[in-house]
Amino acid sequence: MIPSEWLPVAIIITPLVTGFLLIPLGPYTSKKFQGFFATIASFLTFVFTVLLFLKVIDGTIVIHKMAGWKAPFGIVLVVDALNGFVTMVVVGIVMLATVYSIEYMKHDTGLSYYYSLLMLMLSGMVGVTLTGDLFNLFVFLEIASIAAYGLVAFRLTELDPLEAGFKYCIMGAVATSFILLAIGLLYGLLGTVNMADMAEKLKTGNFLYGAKNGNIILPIILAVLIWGFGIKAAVVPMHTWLPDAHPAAPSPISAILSGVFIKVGVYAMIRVLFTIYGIQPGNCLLFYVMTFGVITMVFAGFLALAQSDVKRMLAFSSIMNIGYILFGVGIGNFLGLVGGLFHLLNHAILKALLFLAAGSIIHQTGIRDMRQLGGLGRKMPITLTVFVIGGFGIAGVPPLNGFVSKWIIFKAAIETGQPILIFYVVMGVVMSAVAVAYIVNALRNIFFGESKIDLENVEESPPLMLIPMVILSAMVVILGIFPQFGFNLVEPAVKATVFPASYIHQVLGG
Amino acid sequence: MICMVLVAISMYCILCKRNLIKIVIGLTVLGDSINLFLICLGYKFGGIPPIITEEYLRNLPVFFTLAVDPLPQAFVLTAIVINMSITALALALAVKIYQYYGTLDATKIRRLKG
Repeated sequence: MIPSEWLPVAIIITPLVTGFLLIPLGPYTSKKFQGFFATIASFLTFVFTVLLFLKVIDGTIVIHKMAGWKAPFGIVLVVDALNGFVTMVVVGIVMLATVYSIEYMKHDTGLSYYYSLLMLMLSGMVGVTLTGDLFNLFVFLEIASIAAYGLVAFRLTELDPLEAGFKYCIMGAVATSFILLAIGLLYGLLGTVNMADMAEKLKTGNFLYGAKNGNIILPIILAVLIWGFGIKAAVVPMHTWLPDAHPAAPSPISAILSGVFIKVGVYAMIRVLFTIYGIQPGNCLLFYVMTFGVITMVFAGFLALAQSDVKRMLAFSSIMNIGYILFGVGIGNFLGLVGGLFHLLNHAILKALLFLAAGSIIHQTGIRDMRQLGGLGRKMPITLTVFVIGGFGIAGVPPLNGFVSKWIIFKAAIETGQPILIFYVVMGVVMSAVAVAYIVNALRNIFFGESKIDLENVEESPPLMLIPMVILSAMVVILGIFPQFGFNLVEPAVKATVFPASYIHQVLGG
Repeated sequence: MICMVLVAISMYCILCKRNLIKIVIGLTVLGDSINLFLICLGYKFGGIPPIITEEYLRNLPVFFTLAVDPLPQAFVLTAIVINMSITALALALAVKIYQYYGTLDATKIRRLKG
């Protein structure tokens, strides 16, 4: 067995090496082989991640010192329950999407590049979540982002992916540039890029060169960081790339981008807010985060109602659920964070499920406009079932997992007793109703009624596409009926978020 | 200061220009201005390379006050490589868009604005 402090390295290295191997192997191997190769690699990564998460779930912190340099000087990979949890969600969804790609992408060419970029993106995302060094986080974020730009524009013969890819590329590059600027400012102020060291120096006010205006600059740096990660997470004023980029990408990529890539942005925000800045619940900064969350939720919910393209509707629904997650995180107390992180897990599962189901419809019919489809329910019963489960889960219908996490967020908000939060809860409930409206609308248009065009020859999707969807929908139901199972995963992560002291202590001490 | 002016110019370039190539140029300038800022963080007047030689080994405090901070330079090297790959990707996409639409004007391309 691999010793636990090497597990984070193994998680990052496995997809990276696979990505590099796939390109030279490309001309000599079949498409199926490339798909299975990538699947095996992601499965291996998932096994490593689960092992790692089981290690950190009781509050242990796994630290790997790259090349043996000690904490404030070298690059460290630090895993506590929070990023162990996020990494597990990321790798799990990517694994299922890779299985799905084998069948979905089989008519496309250049698949070695596709799987190679997919593995690079996975490597980048787990790098962002596992690293304990802010500059390293920036580098991994760029790796994941560049792979994502490439994947969005993967189908070069169509126009939408090109435009969306270019737009995403420009906005993403501006975002990461500003993240770099903020990291530079923090470095200038504190003389370190290690997250734990930063947190320690911020707490003691130990600024470089005896800088006295640090307290003025720090909120500005935080604002720039939140703005940069906010673009990556598609928080509303900065969301415009997402409804273009996510539908234009091939469906498994949409599932990954919507399901987990935007969550990586949220994770980075949580890390900066709670670990580096050590913000306590009730801080006014958290109130801004929460307000942004609610604005995001309302704005995107109504836009989702107006869409006729099924994937565009799902993309707006993703933005809306990012709003819910930020609302939960912004409440900032224990229960709010439990709700936020649980919703992060649930939304990753649900949105991956919905995008895969939408991909199944598009793959079998070739049509994305909901108004043209109709009466597919009899021809694609399994797709109908998973779409119903995913859709009602997103809308928060009681026995499913989306209801549980939304309910916890609302409960946490009401328990604080502030009138503004209760107003936000009302908004949240209204938006849930809106979500029911657009999901029911989509269901009615796609699966019931009469089609305007000939859809006689449509069949159910092949089993390799159905298996990931069935696994995901089973998880939706299980997490909905036995939420305790989900809490057992989330609660250690929340403890690690709220009490960063042991994280800081162990990184610097070890 | 110069870096911040450059950031402002490049943001104007990205936000207001219609030509896709000019947007990419704006992006490059933005990246480079931030790199310049990072370099300025580590700069010292009359600084020496941060390599401990025989002479400075005997006089470490002088070395610490004189030596240039090497870390921002390492950051910038990484950031330059990243910027280069983003620029290459954006230009490749721009070329493809030009092939399909025959224009680089963002307002004439159907959905792309900004």
